[in-house]
Amino acid sequence: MRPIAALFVTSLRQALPVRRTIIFVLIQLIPALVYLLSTQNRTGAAALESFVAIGAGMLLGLAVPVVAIVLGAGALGSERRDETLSFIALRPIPRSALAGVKTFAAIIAATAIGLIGALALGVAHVVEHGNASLIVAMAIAVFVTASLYTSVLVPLGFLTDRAVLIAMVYLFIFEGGVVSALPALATISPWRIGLSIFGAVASDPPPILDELMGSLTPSAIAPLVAVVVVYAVSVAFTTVMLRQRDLA
Amino acid sequence: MSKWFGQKVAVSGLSCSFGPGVTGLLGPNGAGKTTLFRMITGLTSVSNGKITVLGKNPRTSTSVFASVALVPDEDAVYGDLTGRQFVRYSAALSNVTDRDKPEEALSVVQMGDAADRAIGGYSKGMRQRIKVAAAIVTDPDVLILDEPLNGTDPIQRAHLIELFEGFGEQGKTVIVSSHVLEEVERVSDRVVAIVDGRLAAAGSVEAIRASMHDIPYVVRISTDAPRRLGAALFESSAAMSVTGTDDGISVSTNDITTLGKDTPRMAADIGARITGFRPQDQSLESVFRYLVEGR
Repeated sequence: MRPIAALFVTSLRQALPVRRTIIFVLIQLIPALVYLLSTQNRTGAAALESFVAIGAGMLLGLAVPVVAIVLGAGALGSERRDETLSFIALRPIPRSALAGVKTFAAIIAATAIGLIGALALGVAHVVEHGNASLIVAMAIAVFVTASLYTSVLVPLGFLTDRAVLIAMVYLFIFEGGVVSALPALATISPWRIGLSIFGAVASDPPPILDELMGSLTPSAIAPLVAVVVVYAVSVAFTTVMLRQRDLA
Repeated sequence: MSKWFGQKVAVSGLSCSFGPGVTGLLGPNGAGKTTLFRMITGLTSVSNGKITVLGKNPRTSTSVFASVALVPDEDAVYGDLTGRQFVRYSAALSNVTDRDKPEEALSVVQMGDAADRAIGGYSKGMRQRIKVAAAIVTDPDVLILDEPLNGTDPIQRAHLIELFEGFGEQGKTVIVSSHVLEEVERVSDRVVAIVDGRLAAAGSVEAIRASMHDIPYVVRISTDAPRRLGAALFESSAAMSVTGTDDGISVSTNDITTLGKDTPRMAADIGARITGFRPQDQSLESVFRYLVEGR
């Protein structure tokens, strides 16, 4: 247990050095700031609609994925680039545990940063309109979104130095453009999957949510199943790569 | 075993073994030493052949790393960790439960004073020593050191060599590669030489030199009568050629034992006094040069 704990703690520490953490947190605060600026003259349903639109478009659709992509790609990718992979690979730790812990640590780091954004947006909504009921739903959506992006990016980051670029193209071009135009493809848009659990957990979400989710429907189970499946597939794939590929 | 990367053959048909004691791994740059180390530790796959470490395949059995440690040539360190954190991390990853071990390892490599500084600010020599500390903290049975003396000053170098010798004397298997041949010679019980990815020689330096039948030994003999002794030695069946030097003669021979017997006898016969009888090319450096040049 001690090697796993040490690997987890050090991985978290590597993922979030002070300067990077400050930048990530500032990115997460942008949606809350935009919300405060845009809802000063709005009340009730209009404010709720803004909360969902900004939460989906800026927090789940931008701030959380960007952080998760960077953290996921760097989990093993940075160890490979910095030539420190041999330091953790030459240990009596199964490759599957190595892959599992590195991925889990990246998920926790991305979720923790994303939760700051969810909390900030939720607090902004409370300050403006006194409604705190959506914070938990947004926090769960952040976890799902962060988990999905991070899980996919860990093996991709290990595979190629261009993982971040590839993921950004996917996020901005495919999810932002193609999926918006073809809602049927929403099932392969991680942040929309996160939004679907928000729709299931939030009480009385506004109609704009259906439009943002594309072909997805609010569900509390399917997104969590997706998280587990994607994590398992990611760890299995990373394990195979750690076993098959030359690590130095 | 063999290893190739695309069209490039890094190691070709190499067969060797390493046992308790210190073995020096020699080879010019690009000979395949680092590739061999990576194959031994399972970091790199073997294209053809087989490697076993403590009876297990290091590529598939991670349990073997409870007993194996590598000090790589590259700076495989975390620049933002302090030396102490790095060594403790290494101990934790290898499930070392003795909490005093990291401090002991830091002390052994004389890094106690700098242990609370970030590794990113270390000199090359300090990085080498902290990597050694991170390896020995796991108390490995097999210690693999890839150019561990790079960047170290003479005092640190002497200390590390002493340390490696100590591990060898404890019965651990220590494999050390270094381009500092005289230090490899000092520390190693035997050497394995690789040239162009192939095994060039293995064994003690003396045994390897003795096996080079086609390369005559050169012996420098100091004497007060070089001309007369040189002429006399032409009569010895062991002397292949004799040339004059500043303080005596230089003799080529394929039979150094016979030459060693003939020389004092012949010197006595002609009344010459011998003040030195020194083989010139039995050092590791000479042997290595012969191996690399394929002479």
